[in-house]
Amino acid sequence: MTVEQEFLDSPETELTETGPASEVAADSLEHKAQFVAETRYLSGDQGLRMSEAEEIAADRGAEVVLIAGLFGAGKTTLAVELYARFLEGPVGDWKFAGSVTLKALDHRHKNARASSGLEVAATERTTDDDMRLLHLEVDNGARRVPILMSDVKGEFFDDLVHRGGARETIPLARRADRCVLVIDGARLKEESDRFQSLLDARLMVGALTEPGALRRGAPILITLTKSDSLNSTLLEEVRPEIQELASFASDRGLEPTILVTSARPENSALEPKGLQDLLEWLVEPRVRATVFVEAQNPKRFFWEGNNESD
Amino acid sequence: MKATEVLFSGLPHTGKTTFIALLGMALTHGRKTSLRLGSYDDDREHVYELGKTLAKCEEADRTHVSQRQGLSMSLAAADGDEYFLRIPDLSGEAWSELVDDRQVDEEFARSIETADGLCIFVHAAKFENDPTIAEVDAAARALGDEHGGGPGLRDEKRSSGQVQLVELLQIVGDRLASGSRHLSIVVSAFDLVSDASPNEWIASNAPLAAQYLQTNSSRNSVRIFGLSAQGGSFADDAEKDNLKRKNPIDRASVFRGNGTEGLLDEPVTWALGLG
Repeated sequence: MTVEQEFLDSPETELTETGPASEVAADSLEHKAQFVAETRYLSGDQGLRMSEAEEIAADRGAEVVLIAGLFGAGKTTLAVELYARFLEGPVGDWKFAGSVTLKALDHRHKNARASSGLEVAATERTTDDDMRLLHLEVDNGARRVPILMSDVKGEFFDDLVHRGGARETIPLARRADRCVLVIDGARLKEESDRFQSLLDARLMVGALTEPGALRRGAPILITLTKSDSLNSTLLEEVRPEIQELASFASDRGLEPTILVTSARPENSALEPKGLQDLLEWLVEPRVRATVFVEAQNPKRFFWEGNNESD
Repeated sequence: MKATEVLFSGLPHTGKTTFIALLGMALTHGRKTSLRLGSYDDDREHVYELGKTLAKCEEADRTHVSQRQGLSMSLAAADGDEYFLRIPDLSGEAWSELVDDRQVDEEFARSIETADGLCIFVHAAKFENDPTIAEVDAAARALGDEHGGGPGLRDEKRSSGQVQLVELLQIVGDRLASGSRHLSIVVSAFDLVSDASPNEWIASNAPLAAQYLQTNSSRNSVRIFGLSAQGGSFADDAEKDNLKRKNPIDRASVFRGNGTEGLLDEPVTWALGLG
């Protein structure tokens, strides 16, 4: 059994990665082996393959986080902007404690920086057929939490919506300790788009909770991104629909929380929102019980104060 | 006599070679150092030539720099222990290749793994912060330009100075380290910093590195130093004339993390665990 398989099989089920992704990985590994004979290669300029992530998951007890969402929803931006907060200083009580994929995180943040030559910040589209993970380790003095966030291209999730089969399409799902479900807030403005987006999200939750995917009781953060594109009226309109989605996730055995974010506001004069809450959720010790907690803590919701686009 | 090796790590033009020249002179004279020269039989031609140019307030001759022979000296510590110290003059390009391209030849990797001490150099005036587009826009708006800062020049490989520093710390302090070690971070051209101690300079210019150092203090023992090897700028004629009136050891300074002045060899003695 390969290390990669062991990673996928841990802790419950068994699965062999198949299809084009594994062929690409095999070719790439063979190439790398030849290269290593002459020089040593330090991984981390790309996201980690699952086999590479295994070491961190095993040695450091890393939380594996599946970031799920359709193409363009803002999955990579969310992860990268969380990292970028630490470039300015601690995030709440949490300090940056290291990343073996620092170069990969920094590369993904490139198009938000002046040295990109761009006028407007962007995120390079994830095109890798391999399922990669980005490592970010944080420490608050009392606890050190290594986090492995997936960076999986949106097309995989399109497949999931159309055909289901998370076990085969997103093999990382069953290894994930928690899931961030990303919903593109910009697609919630028009009623017809909204209906489709929320239906897609429902289908993703459904597919990800079939046997061989997310385990029962896994925390899921239903994350509305690009909230700066919605005014307060629209946000209020959307709220019950997102809560309904959360109820559905709960019915499917997950432990949902809702978060509204604006990780990189289109108007650069606005401050990013929701990233500290994302981090707090990521580092929260896991509760195994499957309980749906309705919004008791108002800090979890940011429906107010998001009307900058009015 | 114990053979010891200290590696000077840092990207190009961060002051590694200049410090080797200064250290060679200071140790030979036995001034502003805790270590003393133990033998006059060592081959010192390379460091001697580098020292001559530093004394004349001139940039090191590229011929000597390209020889990359480094410093090799027999030294005696205050407690009587004797060392043969070697500081290879590794090119900044080799470190760039390691950080940017993730390639390291086996010999270089082994020398990093087995080094007795490491000093990581950053240059106070060349430490790039690579701002975000939002930050550039905010700065432009503050200056009254409502349209923002406009596009910058694309630089494909560029990472900010603090990200490069953290990468170096992770590589030499963890990934290519067999155990915990002493590390010195040397902020060169510190004469250009007027309002901060070395610790404060890192905290404000490299917050990511400052967090990393705090959260990994149990793994490696790291101290931050400020270094003014030249004492000022050789590019400014008036300043250069002024510097020429002092000897190269007197005009040089090393500052400890809290800003107090230390001995010129302190970054090295700390890296060797002698501090």
